[in-house]
Amino acid sequence: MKRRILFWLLGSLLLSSSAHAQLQRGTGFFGGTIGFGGTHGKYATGSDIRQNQFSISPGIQFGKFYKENQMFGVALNVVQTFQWGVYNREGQEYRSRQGQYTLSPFLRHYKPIGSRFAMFLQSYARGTLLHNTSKFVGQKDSSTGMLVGIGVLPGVTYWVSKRFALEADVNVLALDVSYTALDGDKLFNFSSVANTNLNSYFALRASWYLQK
Amino acid sequence: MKLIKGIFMVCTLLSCTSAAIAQYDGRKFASGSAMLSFSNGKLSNDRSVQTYAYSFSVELGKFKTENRASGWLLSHGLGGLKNDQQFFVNGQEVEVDAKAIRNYLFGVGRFWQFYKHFGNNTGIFGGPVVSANYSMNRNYDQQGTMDVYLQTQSQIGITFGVQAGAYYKFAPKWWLTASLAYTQPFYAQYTSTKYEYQTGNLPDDKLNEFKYSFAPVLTLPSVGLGLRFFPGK
Repeated sequence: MKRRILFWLLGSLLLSSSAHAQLQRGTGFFGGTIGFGGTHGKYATGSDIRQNQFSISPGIQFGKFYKENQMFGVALNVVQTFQWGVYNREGQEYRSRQGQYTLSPFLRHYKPIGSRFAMFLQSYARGTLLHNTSKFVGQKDSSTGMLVGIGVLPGVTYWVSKRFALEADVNVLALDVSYTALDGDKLFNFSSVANTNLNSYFALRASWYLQK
Repeated sequence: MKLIKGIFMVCTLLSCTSAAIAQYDGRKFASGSAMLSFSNGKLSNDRSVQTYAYSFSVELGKFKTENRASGWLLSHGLGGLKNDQQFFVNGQEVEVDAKAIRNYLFGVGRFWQFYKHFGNNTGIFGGPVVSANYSMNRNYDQQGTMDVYLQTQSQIGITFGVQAGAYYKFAPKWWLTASLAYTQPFYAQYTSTKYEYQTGNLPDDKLNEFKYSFAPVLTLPSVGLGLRFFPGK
């Protein structure tokens, strides 16, 4: 009887410690994702009007567990959108690029569920630099802007293997203050987002939990 | 001794359950949905509008092993109407004969599903879906008070998606299924839009567009329920 209890204890101990060794203090974290899309259109008859659009959005994250189930990290997200083509029947060309560069330090608290799942809540601050350039019939234009904000993201992690996991999170609460300057026009904007509709898009990310 | 007895019991139990759930290997299944609609309306100025539409989708699959199935998806739909549409071009009333098939759709796909059965009656499944479809949409339109044109859009596309769902077996040959999550990380489509002017003297035009997207996002749909039937046996 004693032996059975001993075996059971040992077994459960081994299982639980191997299951969430990923969330121990000192574990390093790396995550990455990318998305892209484009539309390329051309009128077949009567004119030479062309419309092209392409956007790409890579993102990376680094982190380190400073305590069990608690991580400090930094995320860097970039969105680039390009548009180019011929505007009208006179053959006037346009070209533009919109860039967003976001740096966001965050704190993340994990709550493990079972051996492969965990839920987390991430609180973050972010600073975004906006930079747009455009060229229309030879005339160049550019604008820059700034956006700072704070927010909260809930998410889930699923460990495919001990080191590799898939993560998804969704923006439910965000407060942003933005400032953009365009040809001397200055725009100051305050926005808040509170979203309880969890049916919206969860952004997926591949991530690695690396122990020393 | 007690320990060995215990292990033996667990083993027999396990073999019992595995024997009990070895019930899907090689079985075929089908599920589907269908829609049919007619409407007939009378407008105040003594003209009538009639619309008709039907669509159906079929899923045919087969279990390759106890935990793995694959199969085909077919979908088709058609809609049309009879309605003399009125437009105003520079203050002049123009009537177009809008008796036509307005939309048409045909799709074919292939799916793979991996299962985890919990006991005898419930389980979860998920896997990739690849599908190709063709669709046509046609309608009369105008920009502001400009010339009226007939816009015909033909679209051909391929998508790659991943689906996840759960099932409950409520009768020997019937499952109730629920879709829990769907993600469509990749699609590519080619669209050709023809503009045929009904008034004025603008030349007809055509826009050819190629669109593609890779976006690793997950959507949680409002739970879609379905029925699955296992013929035979």
